[in-house]
Amino acid sequence: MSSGLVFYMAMILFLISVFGLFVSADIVSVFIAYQLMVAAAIINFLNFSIYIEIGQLWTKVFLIIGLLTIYLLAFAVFFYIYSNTEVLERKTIIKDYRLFRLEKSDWWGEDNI
Amino acid sequence: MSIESQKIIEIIQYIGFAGLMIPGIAVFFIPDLRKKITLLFILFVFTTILSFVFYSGILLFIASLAFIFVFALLFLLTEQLSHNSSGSPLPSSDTGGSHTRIIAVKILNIIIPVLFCTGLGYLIYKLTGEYFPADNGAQGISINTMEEITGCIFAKYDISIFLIVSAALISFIWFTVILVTGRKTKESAINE
Repeated sequence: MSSGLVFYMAMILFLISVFGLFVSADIVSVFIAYQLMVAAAIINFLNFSIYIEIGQLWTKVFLIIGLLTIYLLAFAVFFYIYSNTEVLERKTIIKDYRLFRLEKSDWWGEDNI
Repeated sequence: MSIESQKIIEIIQYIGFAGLMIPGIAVFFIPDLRKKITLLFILFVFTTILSFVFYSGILLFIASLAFIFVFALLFLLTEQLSHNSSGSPLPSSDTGGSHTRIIAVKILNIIIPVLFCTGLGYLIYKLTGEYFPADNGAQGISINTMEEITGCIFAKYDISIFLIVSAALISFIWFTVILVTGRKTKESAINE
C-alpha cells in the first residue's frame, strides 16, 4: 500500500472520529471518537516514519511518550468520574455531550409543536 | 522483500483499516455501553495489528501498559453506569415533539455532520493530492528494538521533558477545574 493511500485511509479514520464527536451523545462514545483520532495520528506518524530515513527512531520515541501522556490523562479523567459517581448524579455523567445538535428552533425560531 | 510478502502485508493493511473503520462507525449507533466497550477493544486490537504491519510492534507494547489501566477503569465505569441504568437507553435531547419531527431531527443530525466531513475530506484530498510520490511502500524498512528506544530516550531527553511538563500543566489545570466543580456540586447538593 503506498504512503498516499495509507494517508487517505487515516484521513477517513480521522473524519469518522470527527463525525463521531458530532453525533455521539454519551461520554464513552466521545472517548472512542478520540481513540479513533489517536489511531489515525499513530498510523500517519508510522506511515511517514517509514519514508524518512533520519529520525525514524525519534518518531517512535515521540509516539511512545505522547501515547503514555494521553492515556495517563485519560486515566485521570476516568478515575475522577469513577470515584465520584455517587457524589455526581448519573444524569450529569451520561448527559448529552454532543458538539453539534440541530433543533428546529435553531433555524425557524421557537416552535411549540 | 519478495512480492508475496509485500502482497501479504498489503492485505493485512486493508484488513486492519477495515477493522478500524467498520467498528468505528458502528460504535456511534449502538446504544448499549458494554457493546461499545467491546468494539473499543476490537479497535485497539486492529490498531496493534496495523502497528505491527508498520514494523513498530514495540511501540504499542509500551503504550498498552498505560492503555490497559484506562481500559480496565473505563470497563468498571461502564459496568457501574449500565448497572445503574438497568439497560435503559441513554437520555437524548431529541425526545419531545411529534414522531415525524423527532425522526427529521435525528436524520438531520446525522446528514449535516456527514456533509461537513465529506467537504473536509474533499478539501484535504484536493490540497494533498500532488504531494505524495508514487511508491510501493516497501523501501526503507527498519525495525527498532527496545534497546535503541531506551537509549534514545536517555541520550536526548528534551522532547521527553517537554511532554512531561505539558502533561503536568494539563493535569494541574484539569484537577484545579474538577476541584472547583466538585466543590460547587457538593454545595448545591447540601443546599437542596
